[in-house]
Amino acid sequence: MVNLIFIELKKVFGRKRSYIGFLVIFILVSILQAAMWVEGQTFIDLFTQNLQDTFVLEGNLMNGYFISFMLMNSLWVLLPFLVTFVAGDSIAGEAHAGTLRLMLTRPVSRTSLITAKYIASVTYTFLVVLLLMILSLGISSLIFGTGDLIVFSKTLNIFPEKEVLPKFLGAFGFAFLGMTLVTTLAFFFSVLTNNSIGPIVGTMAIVLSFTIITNLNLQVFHVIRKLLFTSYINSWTLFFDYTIDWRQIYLSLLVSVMHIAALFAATLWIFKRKDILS
Amino acid sequence: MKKALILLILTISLPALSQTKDPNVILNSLKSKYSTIRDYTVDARIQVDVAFLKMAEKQARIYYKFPDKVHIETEGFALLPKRAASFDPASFIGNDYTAVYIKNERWGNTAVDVIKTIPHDPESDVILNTFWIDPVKKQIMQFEINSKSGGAFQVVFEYNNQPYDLPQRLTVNFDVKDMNLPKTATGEINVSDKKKDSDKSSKGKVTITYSNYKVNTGLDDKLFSEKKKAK
Repeated sequence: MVNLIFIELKKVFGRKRSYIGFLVIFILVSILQAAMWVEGQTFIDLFTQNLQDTFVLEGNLMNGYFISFMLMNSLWVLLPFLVTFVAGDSIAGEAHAGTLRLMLTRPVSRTSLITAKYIASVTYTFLVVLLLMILSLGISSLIFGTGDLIVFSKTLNIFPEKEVLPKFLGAFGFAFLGMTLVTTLAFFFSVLTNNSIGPIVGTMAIVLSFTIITNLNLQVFHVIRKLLFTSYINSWTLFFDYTIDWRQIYLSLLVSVMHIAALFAATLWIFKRKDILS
Repeated sequence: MKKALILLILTISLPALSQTKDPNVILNSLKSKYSTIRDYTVDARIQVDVAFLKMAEKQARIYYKFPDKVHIETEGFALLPKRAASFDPASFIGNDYTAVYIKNERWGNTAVDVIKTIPHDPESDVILNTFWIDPVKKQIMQFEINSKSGGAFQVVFEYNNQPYDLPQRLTVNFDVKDMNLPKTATGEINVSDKKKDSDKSSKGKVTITYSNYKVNTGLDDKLFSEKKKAK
């Protein structure tokens, strides 16, 4: 099994397109960091404009933690696009290239093969989120320093520096969970087709449609919204509420894990019964 | 506007005027009491209670030097009300004003004099100051500001045998405009689209508890200029 995973990882990182995600994150984070270096204080002033009339403000809020939060907020919408490239291509790409049937002639069970491919896809997703964390949190902290974090999440919250890092670790952990769900969805679509474009477009169509419904404050969507996974994959922001709603976090965790398990089980079930003709 | 205000207050307080308490004497005695303080350093514990702002209690060290130099040192971020960042009765009272004695009233077990002052500076944002002063101890118990920009600002003082009779606690109540951030700045898209009124204001409260006063230690001016450079 370990060998299989290793082989799948070599395949993933042997393809140039797998690096698109890393490259896009690197370039965007660098651009946004440069922009914040120039104009970050304007952002802080925007957040504190009402306070400046009444208060003397003391201390540096324009720090690496603030930049990291802004980067997470900005790049969050892009992450699903980046992680579907690999997962969507994982099975459909091999089916399209004609190598899937060849692989299955080897003494490897379909369960082992699909599990290895899935683990490789999730590993890729993990590395994309990890890179975002290293660049946005690590590098921003090195460049801009650390300090108290100011965020707007329902209210204007200012967190003491010592509380910030655990919040980010929780947030990035949840971001990984959310992207794992998107990866699993793309992986599920990948088993249904013989062309990698289909899973990528299908996954994005679902993520975008569900996100629109989730974010529209219409009463008719009130019940539907609770059933959509997009209502839960944004839960990393809950870590930046002043009082963390742990009940909502556990619910999001449960819903996300159940979606992942159900989608993977469905993928496995379909793949084990599928006629591999290409 | 200010002349009309003076006239109005004089008319209202005519019965009190007959009691012949001179507000300027009371205010000057207060200024005189604290005039020996050239500088001080104090540790402050700051609790902020504003509806749209959530932050933990903060510790800060405040440096004050006469007449109006203030330097704040804090770990992380802290905020202090602009009009009460330091305790300085002379700056609270000002120099160029018309003072009117209003009445004597009870403040708990203490009899206090209520005095209103109207600054003469036409550029000043302050329209009217009201002081509640303990004439025996020469302590300001409370003062209120009514400003042109709207909103009231009130400071309640508590004393507890601190050096030079400096306050132990300030409770500052004020009006503050509500937040109205663009969604692009917050990253929040999942919020109600109800139109917000940017001029809507709410009540805020800051409690500052002081300890460890060090008075007249000869603070260097550099301490305050370094702060300006840092800004």
